[in-house]
Amino acid sequence: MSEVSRSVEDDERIVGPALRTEIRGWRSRSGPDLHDLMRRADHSWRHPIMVFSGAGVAALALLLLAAIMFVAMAPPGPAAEIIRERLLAP
Amino acid sequence: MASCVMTVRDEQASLAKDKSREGWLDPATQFPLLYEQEYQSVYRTVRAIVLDAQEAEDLTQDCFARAYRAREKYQPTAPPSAWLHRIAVNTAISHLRRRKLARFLPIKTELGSDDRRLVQAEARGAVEEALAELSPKLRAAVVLQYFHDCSREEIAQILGIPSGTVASRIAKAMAQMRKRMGPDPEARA
Repeated sequence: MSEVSRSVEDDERIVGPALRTEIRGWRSRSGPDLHDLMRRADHSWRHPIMVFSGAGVAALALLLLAAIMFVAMAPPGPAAEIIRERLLAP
Repeated sequence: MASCVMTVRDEQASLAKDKSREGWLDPATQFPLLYEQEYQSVYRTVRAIVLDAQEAEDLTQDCFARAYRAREKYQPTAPPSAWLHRIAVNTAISHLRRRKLARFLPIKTELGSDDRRLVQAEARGAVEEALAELSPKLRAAVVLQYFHDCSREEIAQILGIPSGTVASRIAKAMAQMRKRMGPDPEARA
Protein backbone atom coordinates (compact mmCIF):
# COMPACT_ATOMS: atom_id res chain seq x y z
CA MET A 1 0.00 0.00 0.00
CA SER A 2 2.79 2.39 1.00
CA GLU A 3 4.62 1.50 -2.21
CA VAL A 4 1.56 2.45 -4.22
CA SER A 5 1.15 5.80 -2.40
CA ARG A 6 4.88 6.50 -2.72
CA SER A 7 4.62 5.81 -6.42
CA VAL A 8 1.69 8.23 -6.78
CA GLU A 9 3.66 10.87 -4.86
CA ASP A 10 6.65 10.31 -7.14
CA ASP A 11 4.42 10.68 -10.17
CA GLU A 12 3.06 13.96 -8.79
CA ARG A 13 6.54 15.24 -7.93
CA ILE A 14 7.72 14.70 -11.48
CA VAL A 15 4.62 15.63 -13.44
CA GLY A 16 2.99 18.35 -11.29
CA PRO A 17 5.60 21.17 -11.61
CA ALA A 18 6.10 20.59 -15.34
CA LEU A 19 2.36 20.67 -15.86
CA ARG A 20 1.95 23.93 -13.93
CA THR A 21 4.80 25.62 -15.83
CA GLU A 22 3.40 24.53 -19.18
CA ILE A 23 -0.19 25.58 -18.48
CA ARG A 24 0.88 28.92 -16.96
CA GLY A 25 2.46 29.71 -20.32
CA TRP A 26 -0.86 29.30 -22.15
CA ARG A 27 -2.49 32.65 -22.67
CA SER A 28 -5.37 33.49 -24.95
CA ARG A 29 -4.15 35.75 -27.76
CA SER A 30 -7.52 37.33 -28.44
CA GLY A 31 -8.29 37.80 -24.73
CA PRO A 32 -11.70 38.59 -23.33
CA ASP A 33 -13.93 40.25 -25.94
CA LEU A 34 -17.27 41.21 -24.44
CA HIS A 35 -18.65 42.50 -27.75
CA ASP A 36 -18.03 39.13 -29.47
CA LEU A 37 -19.46 37.33 -26.45
CA MET A 38 -22.72 39.30 -26.62
CA ARG A 39 -22.97 38.62 -30.35
CA ARG A 40 -22.52 34.87 -29.75
CA ALA A 41 -25.02 34.84 -26.91
CA ASP A 42 -27.61 36.57 -29.13
CA HIS A 43 -27.01 34.36 -32.17
CA SER A 44 -26.60 31.02 -30.44
CA TRP A 45 -29.44 29.48 -32.47
CA ARG A 46 -27.30 29.87 -35.59
CA HIS A 47 -24.87 27.30 -34.30
CA PRO A 48 -24.29 24.77 -37.15
CA ILE A 49 -25.30 21.74 -35.10
CA MET A 50 -28.67 23.34 -34.37
CA VAL A 51 -29.13 24.41 -37.99
CA PHE A 52 -28.26 20.90 -39.24
CA SER A 53 -30.53 19.26 -36.67
CA GLY A 54 -33.41 21.57 -37.61
CA ALA A 55 -32.87 21.00 -41.32
CA GLY A 56 -32.68 17.23 -40.76
CA VAL A 57 -35.95 17.16 -38.81
CA ALA A 58 -37.69 19.31 -41.46
CA ALA A 59 -36.39 17.07 -44.27
CA LEU A 60 -37.60 13.91 -42.49
CA ALA A 61 -41.02 15.45 -41.88
CA LEU A 62 -41.30 16.42 -45.57
CA LEU A 63 -40.24 12.93 -46.66
CA LEU A 64 -42.83 11.34 -44.39
CA LEU A 65 -45.52 13.69 -45.68
CA ALA A 66 -44.59 12.95 -49.29
CA ALA A 67 -44.68 9.20 -48.60
CA ILE A 68 -48.13 9.43 -47.01
CA MET A 69 -49.40 11.50 -49.95
CA PHE A 70 -47.90 9.04 -52.42
CA VAL A 71 -49.60 6.11 -50.73
CA ALA A 72 -52.93 7.91 -50.38
CA MET A 73 -53.01 9.40 -53.88
CA ALA A 74 -51.27 6.68 -55.89
CA PRO A 75 -53.03 5.78 -59.16
CA PRO A 76 -55.12 2.63 -58.94
CA GLY A 77 -53.33 -0.59 -59.75
CA PRO A 78 -52.63 -3.98 -58.20
CA ALA A 79 -49.36 -2.84 -56.53
CA ALA A 80 -50.91 0.35 -55.14
CA GLU A 81 -53.83 -1.62 -53.75
CA ILE A 82 -51.53 -4.03 -51.93
CA ILE A 83 -49.43 -1.22 -50.47
CA ARG A 84 -52.52 0.74 -49.41
CA GLU A 85 -54.05 -2.33 -47.79
CA ARG A 86 -50.88 -3.16 -45.89
CA LEU A 87 -50.18 0.39 -44.70
CA LEU A 88 -53.70 1.48 -43.91
CA ALA A 89 -54.92 -1.78 -42.40
CA PRO A 90 -55.48 -1.51 -38.63
CA MET B 1 -35.39 22.96 22.87
CA ALA B 2 -34.03 20.72 20.18
CA SER B 3 -35.70 22.84 17.51
CA CYS B 4 -34.23 25.98 19.12
CA VAL B 5 -30.74 24.46 19.02
CA MET B 6 -31.31 23.44 15.45
CA THR B 7 -32.42 26.97 14.60
CA VAL B 8 -29.32 28.52 16.17
CA ARG B 9 -27.14 25.97 14.38
CA ASP B 10 -28.92 26.63 11.12
CA GLU B 11 -28.39 30.35 11.56
CA GLN B 12 -24.71 29.79 12.33
CA ALA B 13 -24.36 27.56 9.29
CA SER B 14 -26.14 30.14 7.17
CA LEU B 15 -23.87 32.92 8.48
CA ALA B 16 -20.79 30.78 7.79
CA LYS B 17 -22.06 30.13 4.27
CA ASP B 18 -22.72 33.84 3.71
CA LYS B 19 -19.22 34.61 4.95
CA SER B 20 -17.69 32.02 2.61
CA ARG B 21 -19.65 33.57 -0.26
CA GLU B 22 -18.12 36.99 0.37
CA GLY B 23 -16.23 38.06 -2.70
CA TRP B 24 -18.16 35.74 -4.99
CA LEU B 25 -19.28 37.58 -8.08
CA ASP B 26 -22.93 37.17 -8.94
CA PRO B 27 -23.19 36.05 -12.59
CA ALA B 28 -26.66 37.56 -12.91
CA THR B 29 -25.56 41.10 -12.01
CA GLN B 30 -21.75 41.10 -12.39
CA PHE B 31 -21.23 38.97 -15.48
CA PRO B 32 -18.80 41.30 -17.34
CA LEU B 33 -16.55 41.43 -14.27
CA LEU B 34 -16.69 37.66 -13.84
CA TYR B 35 -15.89 37.26 -17.54
CA GLU B 36 -12.78 39.49 -17.29
CA GLN B 37 -11.63 37.81 -14.10
CA GLU B 38 -12.08 34.17 -15.13
CA TYR B 39 -11.35 34.32 -18.86
CA GLN B 40 -7.71 33.16 -18.85
CA SER B 41 -8.39 30.50 -16.24
CA VAL B 42 -11.27 29.01 -18.25
CA TYR B 43 -9.19 29.29 -21.44
CA ARG B 44 -6.42 27.18 -19.86
CA THR B 45 -8.89 24.51 -18.74
CA VAL B 46 -10.44 24.33 -22.21
CA ARG B 47 -7.05 24.26 -23.89
CA ALA B 48 -5.86 21.45 -21.64
CA ILE B 49 -8.86 19.41 -22.74
CA VAL B 50 -8.88 20.14 -26.49
CA LEU B 51 -5.08 20.70 -26.81
CA ASP B 52 -5.54 23.22 -29.61
CA ALA B 53 -4.93 26.94 -29.00
CA GLN B 54 -7.24 28.20 -31.75
CA GLU B 55 -10.12 25.88 -30.87
CA ALA B 56 -9.66 26.75 -27.20
CA GLU B 57 -10.10 30.48 -27.97
CA ASP B 58 -13.37 29.80 -29.75
CA LEU B 59 -14.66 27.33 -27.17
CA THR B 60 -13.84 29.66 -24.29
CA GLN B 61 -16.08 32.28 -25.87
CA ASP B 62 -18.77 29.63 -26.43
CA CYS B 63 -18.50 28.60 -22.80
CA PHE B 64 -19.00 32.17 -21.59
CA ALA B 65 -21.87 32.64 -24.05
CA ARG B 66 -23.56 29.57 -22.52
CA ALA B 67 -22.84 30.85 -19.04
CA TYR B 68 -24.26 34.27 -19.97
CA ARG B 69 -27.51 32.71 -21.17
CA ALA B 70 -27.73 30.61 -17.98
CA ARG B 71 -26.59 33.38 -15.61
CA GLU B 72 -30.00 33.67 -13.94
CA LYS B 73 -30.01 29.93 -13.15
CA TYR B 74 -26.73 30.04 -11.18
CA GLN B 75 -27.17 28.68 -7.63
CA PRO B 76 -24.62 29.97 -5.08
CA THR B 77 -23.88 26.48 -3.71
CA ALA B 78 -20.43 26.57 -5.33
CA PRO B 79 -18.18 29.49 -6.35
CA PRO B 80 -18.99 30.99 -9.76
CA SER B 81 -15.56 29.89 -10.99
CA ALA B 82 -16.49 26.23 -10.31
CA TRP B 83 -19.79 26.80 -12.14
CA LEU B 84 -17.90 28.28 -15.11
CA HIS B 85 -15.38 25.44 -15.14
CA ARG B 86 -18.19 22.90 -15.18
CA ILE B 87 -19.65 24.62 -18.25
CA ALA B 88 -16.15 24.79 -19.80
CA VAL B 89 -15.47 21.08 -19.27
CA ASN B 90 -18.87 20.15 -20.74
CA THR B 91 -18.39 22.51 -23.71
CA ALA B 92 -14.91 21.15 -24.47
CA ILE B 93 -15.89 17.47 -24.13
CA SER B 94 -19.01 17.96 -26.30
CA HIS B 95 -16.83 19.66 -28.89
CA LEU B 96 -14.41 16.70 -28.95
CA ARG B 97 -17.35 14.30 -29.34
CA ARG B 98 -18.67 16.34 -32.28
CA ARG B 99 -15.20 16.45 -33.80
CA LYS B 100 -14.93 12.66 -33.56
CA LEU B 101 -18.35 12.32 -35.18
CA ALA B 102 -17.48 14.86 -37.90
CA ARG B 103 -14.70 12.56 -39.15
CA PHE B 104 -17.37 10.14 -40.33
CA LEU B 105 -19.46 12.79 -42.05
CA PRO B 106 -18.76 13.78 -45.65
CA ILE B 107 -19.65 17.46 -45.01
CA LYS B 108 -17.09 20.06 -43.97
CA THR B 109 -17.83 21.65 -40.63
CA GLU B 110 -16.05 24.50 -38.91
CA LEU B 111 -14.40 22.15 -36.44
CA GLY B 112 -10.89 22.60 -37.87
CA SER B 113 -9.00 20.82 -40.59
CA ASP B 114 -6.94 17.68 -40.09
CA ASP B 115 -3.89 19.47 -41.56
CA ARG B 116 -3.96 22.13 -38.88
CA ARG B 117 -4.27 19.49 -36.16
CA LEU B 118 -1.34 17.62 -37.65
CA VAL B 119 0.83 20.77 -37.55
CA GLN B 120 -0.23 21.43 -33.96
CA ALA B 121 0.54 17.85 -32.95
CA GLU B 122 4.04 18.23 -34.35
CA ALA B 123 4.60 21.49 -32.43
CA ARG B 124 3.55 20.04 -29.06
CA GLY B 125 5.96 19.94 -26.15
CA ALA B 126 6.54 17.02 -23.79
CA VAL B 127 3.76 18.01 -21.40
CA GLU B 128 1.19 18.45 -24.17
CA GLU B 129 2.28 15.15 -25.69
CA ALA B 130 1.75 13.47 -22.33
CA LEU B 131 -1.64 15.17 -21.92
CA ALA B 132 -2.62 14.04 -25.42
CA GLU B 133 -2.21 10.44 -24.31
CA LEU B 134 -4.98 10.89 -21.73
CA SER B 135 -8.72 10.84 -22.31
CA PRO B 136 -10.44 14.28 -22.26
CA LYS B 137 -12.01 13.55 -18.87
CA LEU B 138 -8.64 12.62 -17.40
CA ARG B 139 -7.13 15.83 -18.82
CA ALA B 140 -9.91 17.84 -17.20
CA ALA B 141 -9.28 16.20 -13.81
CA VAL B 142 -5.53 16.79 -14.11
CA VAL B 143 -5.75 20.48 -15.02
CA LEU B 144 -8.27 21.17 -12.26
CA GLN B 145 -6.10 19.46 -9.66
CA TYR B 146 -2.59 20.53 -10.66
CA PHE B 147 -3.17 23.92 -12.16
CA HIS B 148 -6.29 25.29 -10.49
CA ASP B 149 -5.52 23.54 -7.19
CA CYS B 150 -9.12 22.40 -6.83
CA SER B 151 -9.90 19.94 -4.06
CA ARG B 152 -11.13 16.45 -4.88
CA GLU B 153 -14.64 17.49 -3.84
CA GLU B 154 -14.57 20.56 -6.09
CA ILE B 155 -13.32 18.46 -9.01
CA ALA B 156 -16.03 15.89 -8.31
CA GLN B 157 -18.62 18.66 -8.38
CA ILE B 158 -17.26 20.16 -11.61
CA LEU B 159 -17.01 16.81 -13.42
CA GLY B 160 -20.20 15.43 -11.89
CA ILE B 161 -18.55 12.24 -10.60
CA PRO B 162 -17.88 10.80 -7.10
CA SER B 163 -14.74 12.09 -5.35
CA GLY B 164 -13.37 8.51 -5.13
CA THR B 165 -13.48 8.35 -8.91
CA VAL B 166 -11.57 11.66 -9.07
CA ALA B 167 -8.77 10.20 -6.95
CA SER B 168 -8.48 7.06 -9.08
CA ARG B 169 -8.63 9.05 -12.31
CA ILE B 170 -5.87 11.38 -11.17
CA ALA B 171 -3.64 8.54 -9.99
CA LYS B 172 -4.16 6.82 -13.35
CA ALA B 173 -3.41 10.03 -15.25
CA MET B 174 -0.27 10.73 -13.22
CA ALA B 175 1.06 7.23 -13.84
CA GLN B 176 0.42 7.56 -17.59
CA MET B 177 1.98 11.02 -17.78
CA ARG B 178 5.00 9.99 -15.76
CA LYS B 179 5.62 7.09 -18.12
CA ARG B 180 5.66 9.61 -20.95
CA MET B 181 7.59 12.40 -19.23
CA GLY B 182 9.60 10.55 -16.57
CA PRO B 183 13.38 11.09 -16.25
CA ASP B 184 14.02 7.49 -17.24
CA PRO B 185 14.60 7.65 -20.99
CA GLU B 186 13.75 3.97 -21.39
CA ALA B 187 10.32 4.63 -19.94
CA ARG B 188 9.63 7.22 -22.65
CA ALA B 189 10.39 4.78 -25.46
